[in-house]
Amino acid sequence: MSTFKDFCEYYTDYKLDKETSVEERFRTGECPLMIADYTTYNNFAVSAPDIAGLWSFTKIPGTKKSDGTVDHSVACTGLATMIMADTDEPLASWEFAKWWTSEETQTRYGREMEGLMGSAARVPTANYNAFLRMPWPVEDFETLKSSMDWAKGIPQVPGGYYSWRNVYNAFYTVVTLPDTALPREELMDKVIYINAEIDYKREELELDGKRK
Amino acid sequence: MKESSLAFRIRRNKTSYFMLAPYFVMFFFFTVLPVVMSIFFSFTYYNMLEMPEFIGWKNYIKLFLEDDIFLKSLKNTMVLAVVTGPVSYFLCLLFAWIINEFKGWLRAFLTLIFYAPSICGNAFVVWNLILSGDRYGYLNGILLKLGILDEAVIWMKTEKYVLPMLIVVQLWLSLGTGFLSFIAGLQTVDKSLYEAGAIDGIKNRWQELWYITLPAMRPQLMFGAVMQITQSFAIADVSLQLAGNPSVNYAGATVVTHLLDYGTVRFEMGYASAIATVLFILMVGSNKLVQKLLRRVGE
Repeated sequence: MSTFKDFCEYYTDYKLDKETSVEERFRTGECPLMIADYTTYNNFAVSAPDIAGLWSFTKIPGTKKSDGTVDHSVACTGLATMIMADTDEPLASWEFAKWWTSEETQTRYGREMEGLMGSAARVPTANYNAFLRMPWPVEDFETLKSSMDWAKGIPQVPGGYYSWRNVYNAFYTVVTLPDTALPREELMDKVIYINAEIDYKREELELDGKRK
Repeated sequence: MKESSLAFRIRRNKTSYFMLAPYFVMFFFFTVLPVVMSIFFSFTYYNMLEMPEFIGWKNYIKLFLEDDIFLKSLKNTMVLAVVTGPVSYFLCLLFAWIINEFKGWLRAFLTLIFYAPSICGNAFVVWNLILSGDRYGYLNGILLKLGILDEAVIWMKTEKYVLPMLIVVQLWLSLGTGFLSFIAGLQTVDKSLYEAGAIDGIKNRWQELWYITLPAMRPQLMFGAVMQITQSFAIADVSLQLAGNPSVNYAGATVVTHLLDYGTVRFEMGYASAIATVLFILMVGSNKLVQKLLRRVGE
């Protein structure tokens, strides 16, 4: 709750611009510092030759914890492969999934994509070691490797699509009506919806026993 | 074989039936059959990965009693239909009538300007640029410069602006097929009717419009009305592209976006089919109503 309150305060108290084209502002120099994911890096590497060599990236600024160390945690999302339980070929599917996500295959895939379309096509490979073997410039590589240690995945639950949607709604209500909407109230209202949807999905997927 | 029996009449007109067949096959498989299937699915629980499971009226109960987002989307759709339907209809008629006065290339040019938004595919996404929440977006930039605003407004994410903006964009888009059909209709009105009217004592252009032009254009009016109503109930693309999916606090939700949300994001096809069936009944009902009202034009 207090994190949400802090987050809203950046926009209500400090009046940060809510919607910006960060790429354009970075190029003109209006925003000297930018927090974005590495697809923006790819974007700039290819689409901004006017600032080539004038910029680089580093670890995300962290928050100071109570014991003095700095916490550089970054959220990340993921994709998954699944094999259906009713399939006729479970072993073959497993072999395929293993082959596709192996270091050899992913390195080859990433390098060939980049060979075809240049550095704009650098893919986040499915294999960690393959990712380290992509043609990164040296300093960027060191930074990325140290950032990886701080990456934390967000656990997904059935009905989870409803959470981000409601947090989003609560955030925008607070930010567009700063005089009347309080972060705590808005978020608590939406938490009811989120919980209801998660309960509904759990019942539907029979995660707590047979459906009534 | 009896002269008047159905089978005999079919046999006698069989070439006509053969000519109808291609269209009828497509119409049946792409329009009638999906509607029937949708009505069937609305009574089941269907998540597209398993076979549908019959659950009776549960979807409808949930839809009418527990789903407040559906009620909000229904209200939005009604507002959109009521405002953009009649308003755009009259605007089309007005513009068609005015443009009918011009001749030659000026008239063709004006027609193109009015018709262009509807033929250019998804041209309305240019409104994304205009309504961008960025300080440098077109609308924000101009208003900031003129001093009307003192900070950028995120148009598409502020609840109270989403629906009005959607109405504006939809009006801009809808001067489309109806407009063309009105122009065509205005051209085909028999000129001698106007002369006869002048002899009979028609005093001004308004009377001429109400007593002669509009009744003569009744088929076009009907067509225009039907098109407008169907289009305004089906507004979803504009909402998705401009207001996002889902829109902030469901301010831009229409029945079809609600349907798409349940069908494609939540994989609850049975519930989505229930929404579709309700929408179908609503559209047919309002169509009948509009036709009844239009029969009285000119009396």
